Amino acid sequence: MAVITKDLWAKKGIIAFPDGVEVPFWGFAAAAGGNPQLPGPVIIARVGDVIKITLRNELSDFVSLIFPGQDYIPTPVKENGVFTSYNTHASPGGVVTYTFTATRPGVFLYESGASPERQVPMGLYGAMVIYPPGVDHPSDPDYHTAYGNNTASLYDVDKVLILSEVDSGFNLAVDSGSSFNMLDFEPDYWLINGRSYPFTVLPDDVDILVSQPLGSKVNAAPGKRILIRCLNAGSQNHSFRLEGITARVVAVDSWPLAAGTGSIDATYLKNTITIASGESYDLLFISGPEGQYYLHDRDHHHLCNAGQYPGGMATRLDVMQADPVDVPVSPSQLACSVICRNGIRLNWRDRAINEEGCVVERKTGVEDFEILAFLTAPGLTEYTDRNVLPNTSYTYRVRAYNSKGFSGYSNRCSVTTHDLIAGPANLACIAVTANQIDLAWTNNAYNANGYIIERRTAETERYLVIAEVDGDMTAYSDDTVEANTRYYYRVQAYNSTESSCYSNECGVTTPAIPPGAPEHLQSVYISSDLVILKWDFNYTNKDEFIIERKSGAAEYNEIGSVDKYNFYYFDFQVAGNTIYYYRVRAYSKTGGYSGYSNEIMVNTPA
Amino acid sequence: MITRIRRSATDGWVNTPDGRTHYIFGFGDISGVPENELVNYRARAELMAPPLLLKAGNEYIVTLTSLGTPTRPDLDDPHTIHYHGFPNQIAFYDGVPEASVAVPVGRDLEYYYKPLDPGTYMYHCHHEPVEHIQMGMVGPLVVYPHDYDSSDPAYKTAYGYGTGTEYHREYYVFLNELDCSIHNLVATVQEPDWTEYRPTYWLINGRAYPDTIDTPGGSRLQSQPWPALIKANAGERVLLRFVNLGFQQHAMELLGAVLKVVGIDGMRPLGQNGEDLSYNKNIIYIAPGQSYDAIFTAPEAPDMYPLTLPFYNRNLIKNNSGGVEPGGMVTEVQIYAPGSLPHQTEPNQA
Amino acid sequence: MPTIDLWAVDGYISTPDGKSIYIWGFTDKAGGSAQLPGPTIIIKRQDPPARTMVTVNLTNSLPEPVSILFPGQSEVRVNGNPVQPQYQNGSLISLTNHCLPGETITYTFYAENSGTFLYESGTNPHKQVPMGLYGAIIVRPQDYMPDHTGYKTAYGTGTGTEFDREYLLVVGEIDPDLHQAVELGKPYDTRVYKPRYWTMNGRCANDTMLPDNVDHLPNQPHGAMIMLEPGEKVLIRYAGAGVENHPLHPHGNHTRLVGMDGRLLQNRTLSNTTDLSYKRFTVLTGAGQTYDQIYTWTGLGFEPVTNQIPTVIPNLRNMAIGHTGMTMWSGSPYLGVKGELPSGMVSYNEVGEYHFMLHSHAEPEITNWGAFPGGLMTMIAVYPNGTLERHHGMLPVESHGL
Repeated sequence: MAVITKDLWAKKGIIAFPDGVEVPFWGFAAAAGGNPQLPGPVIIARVGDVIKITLRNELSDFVSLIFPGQDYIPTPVKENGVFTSYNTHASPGGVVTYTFTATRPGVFLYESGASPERQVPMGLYGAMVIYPPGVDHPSDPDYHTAYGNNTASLYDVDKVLILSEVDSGFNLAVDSGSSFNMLDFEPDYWLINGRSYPFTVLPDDVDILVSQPLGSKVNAAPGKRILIRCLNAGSQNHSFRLEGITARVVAVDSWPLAAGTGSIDATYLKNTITIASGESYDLLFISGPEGQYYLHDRDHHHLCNAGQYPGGMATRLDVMQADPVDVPVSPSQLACSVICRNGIRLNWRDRAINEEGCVVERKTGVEDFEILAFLTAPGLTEYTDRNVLPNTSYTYRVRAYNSKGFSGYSNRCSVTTHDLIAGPANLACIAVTANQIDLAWTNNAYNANGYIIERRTAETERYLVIAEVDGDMTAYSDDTVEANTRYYYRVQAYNSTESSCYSNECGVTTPAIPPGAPEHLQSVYISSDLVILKWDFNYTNKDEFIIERKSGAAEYNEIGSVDKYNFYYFDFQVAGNTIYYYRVRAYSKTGGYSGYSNEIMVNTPA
Repeated sequence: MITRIRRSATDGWVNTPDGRTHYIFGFGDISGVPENELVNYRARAELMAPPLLLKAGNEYIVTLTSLGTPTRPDLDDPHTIHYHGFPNQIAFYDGVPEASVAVPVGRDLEYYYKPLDPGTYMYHCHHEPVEHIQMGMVGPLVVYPHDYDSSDPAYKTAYGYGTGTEYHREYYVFLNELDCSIHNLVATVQEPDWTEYRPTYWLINGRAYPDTIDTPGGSRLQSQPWPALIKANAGERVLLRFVNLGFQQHAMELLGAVLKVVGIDGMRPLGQNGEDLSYNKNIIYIAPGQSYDAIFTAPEAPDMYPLTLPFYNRNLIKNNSGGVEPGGMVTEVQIYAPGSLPHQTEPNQA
Repeated sequence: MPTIDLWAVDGYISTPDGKSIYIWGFTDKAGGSAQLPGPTIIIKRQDPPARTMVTVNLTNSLPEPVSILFPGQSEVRVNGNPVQPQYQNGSLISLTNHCLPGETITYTFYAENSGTFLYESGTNPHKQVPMGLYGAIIVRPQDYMPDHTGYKTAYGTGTGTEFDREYLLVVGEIDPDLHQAVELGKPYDTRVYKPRYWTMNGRCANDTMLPDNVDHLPNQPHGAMIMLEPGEKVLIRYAGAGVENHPLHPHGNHTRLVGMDGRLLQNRTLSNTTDLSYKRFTVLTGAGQTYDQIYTWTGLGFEPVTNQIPTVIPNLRNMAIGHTGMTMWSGSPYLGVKGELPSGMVSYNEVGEYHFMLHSHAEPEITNWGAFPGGLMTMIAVYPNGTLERHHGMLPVESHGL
């Protein structure tokens, strides 16, 4: 029996996502002056150990810790009869110590109990792994078991996967003290061990993720007993899939399903588990043949970073004969050349035999290096940077990684984007009407045969060629645009031998226009208790149609609406032997009301 | 002998801790009320609905009387009682209007039940269920074992003598949500788009925290008579009857005690050869239309009484009331020194 | 050995409120349209030690790569090699080997376990699976014999999974904005995903209650109505193909959950069998998971002569029946009896059968774009003894032959 002493500093930090977004968070640091971590430092103990955690609060709110699943009685704090914390808290700048004995094995959360509705989503949570006492002793029946002898939990490799979500807007608001209505909480990043894919498959403790030290990729040889310990620290449930694997569920909430001699074996097989907030699942399987196996949320929408696939709650099991014993050898002979139709092509020599992928970094002019691309496949020796500007100097470097860490960097290569044919510049675009954008640029080339004009509608889309014009032109009108849409353009010159670099990019949003009016309103059925109206509509920008009616000298009244997919309206609210007048107009959220259709008169029979 | 119970279907108003009131449809208890006094029970729907407490093997006739909705006099919706989960039900008593009979305003229908198995069930109206369930026509239904005897510890059980389900106290953990904009639309004669359902309040026994720990009687909560405050003496076994009649999944967590699941959807979890599959849990993860029976032993901690154990939804982002925290599905378990609290004589008695 | 040819193609489905929705899906007919869900693949396992190798040839007629995952199956290979995730310019695109537009690839796997499984796209799955690229696989035990008592089982004789009829319910969701964006080639941000329709075997209620292969739903060939006679054991197979979880609740009785993800809920040793099945009245059908259950209904013995119901039936003219203009009710509380319904009332009741609803208890999911009734809802019809034709609930032993 030991005393496990852990000091945790609650403080502010920054987490990074693979799409380049950085977000403030609150977390626990393992050392004074250290970076806070997401999730918090893992606390490891054996059953029987006394766990003594000292929380040092460097935030400006009360913070406390709770220990769900532990044999531990909390002492909640109330103000005016209402919980402010589920356990004794530390004031800003204050310190509180929690002590308890680990009484059963398993994977558990520790998390803030003060305003947990905000502080846990902000990042104040971590995992505690408690092993049976003999887990380290080869002669002990508990050796390499999660729950002890006869619990069907013998493993060769174990890995804790902590699932959670981040709503980046929430983090920004709470960190800056702005108001945030919790009813608006909508995650846009999904995490395993504090990282979103593909950062999840990077090794532990990489220099680019100072507050997210835990990778989640699992490496194992074929035929090994793998124990995946899923723990949901988030506020959503997740359906976690082991792709290509059927695992045995050996424990739920750290209660083993085969609880020892004399009890029944209630373990069962699954390939996907639905894991609720706060739950844990221990999943055991034997690794199959060599290869990659994705472990991921089967809610595929959580495989995105800010809406873009791939990303989110995914990591990998790599089954290989031998785990790498060292970091990869660095790539060498990096060379880069401008290929202006496509950008800058990089080539390098892959000297490593054990890398899992590599990271391409770029610096523009005299700025710092930034991550340009995160390549998740081994053996790559080239990459094309398609996001380059003309007359700009770029410097690149590449390094490989595996589960042991990063290689050294390759040599640097530098290139400046200019060429024999000078690219157009000063591209400007203006939306002159809702359906026309005018472009103008400066011609820098004396030898251009023509210009290629490219367009896209979102910064994340690929450019598509929309027109080619003669080399003496410096303007173009694009009349193929839709209202209320943002467009981006770039222009490239070419002659008989080559293409120039692209111009600058310009973006413009077309104004909204009201929808056109419905046409040819007619009645297609008339009876004493039903009139069916039909109309035509030849525009796309509408959300619904509004139907109006009057009878006699009365004013028109709105009698109903139908959504944009309908061109019929059933008016059941009619009386017999009555003259009605109808008219219809369209409505769109972006453009408001259209004009009215033609008016028709209907005379219902008696 | 057949026991007669009577429920009204009507409308009413409920209150949330932010001081807002919300229009509801719901049930009321009108058992034994003379016909000429029924009018006084209009607009007195309760959330959660009055529990239906039955005993296995006994016979019951539950009469549903639709008293109308005074706030919505235009509304001609009929109502029903659906006894959710009743094994081998016949269609006539199943309360599905598309497959049997529903009760229009001013009419009655008798539902006959002879429950054969103990367990925690639920009842709700099944006319346009998306609307009538959300509007509040939801309540718990408990079937006690035929040998139930609250005065004999071996026979005060959830599932009968010798089933390992003895308890000292029992409480409802009846979960649902409320989307105030939908209730407002219904009150003002407008049609909600149910795909836009977005709850603003999360309730235990019809109340949001901190109303959950308020004792009954306050006029502000007169339509919500069921607190969710759980009390026990140290060492006692406490049965929690979880029911979810909301539209979302919830994950209820109790700090400081272990929940043993002894009933799922009104049945002991038993394999085909009688294997006892009851299990321990830290979190009760419950989907709409499910029930769980879980027993915990109130922990002993001399020198610390009374203990307060937080009991809340681990979907932490929902623990607010209309966006204000703390709120939602949060309550507490209070534990006293052995012998402090008297014998519990009624379910949910705190 | 079974061989299945699948084409990934596009097509349209219809909803009961009159919408036509563009989908991507699978068909097993050359030149066919996408079907929702994809064709059900039914395989009977070989007698051991022979192994049951299943071959699936996928031809891709869609404009981007498409692949198929076979969760729960053994030794999935493509063109003879173990499947592997696929990357494009170093970035993950597929969780398994994919097929480029216009090409064909061949997957094989061994069906080593009986039960219910999904097959689904592993390429851009955030888009392709909701678009409809999914279907179900049923694997039958090697001793399956539909005409022999005790051998018509989900998991093999002696496993307690005998059944008389079986029904497969594949559930999913539809956000029409995603489908429209894909049809028009526009970008779609998963953050705005909001289902407006929920499908059971590709159909929204009340279309779920129509028979298989109705003319006006050519790409949604499977109904979802469950029909049985009292006392029969009905195997209901739920498969969650969407990205959300759905609490499915059958009226009338509990089900006994006997298997999940194509694995029997039973642990066997030489000397001992531990049965882990249990009863539920609401099964949360999780994304990407399957649930096999046995449902029976025996009733309580009420009949019109010797065991009448102990309550008075009110004058039906005073009651609300068929609020939407029709009813499934017979007009009588007794099974097999047709009562007198108020005049003008249309009843779809045939022979006095009982109808029990089976539906999602996340009730907004039983609407079509917010309007009840719709979505994840169907009926369980209990027919009087001897009145239900034998072919209902009879899936073939194998779907795609040898």
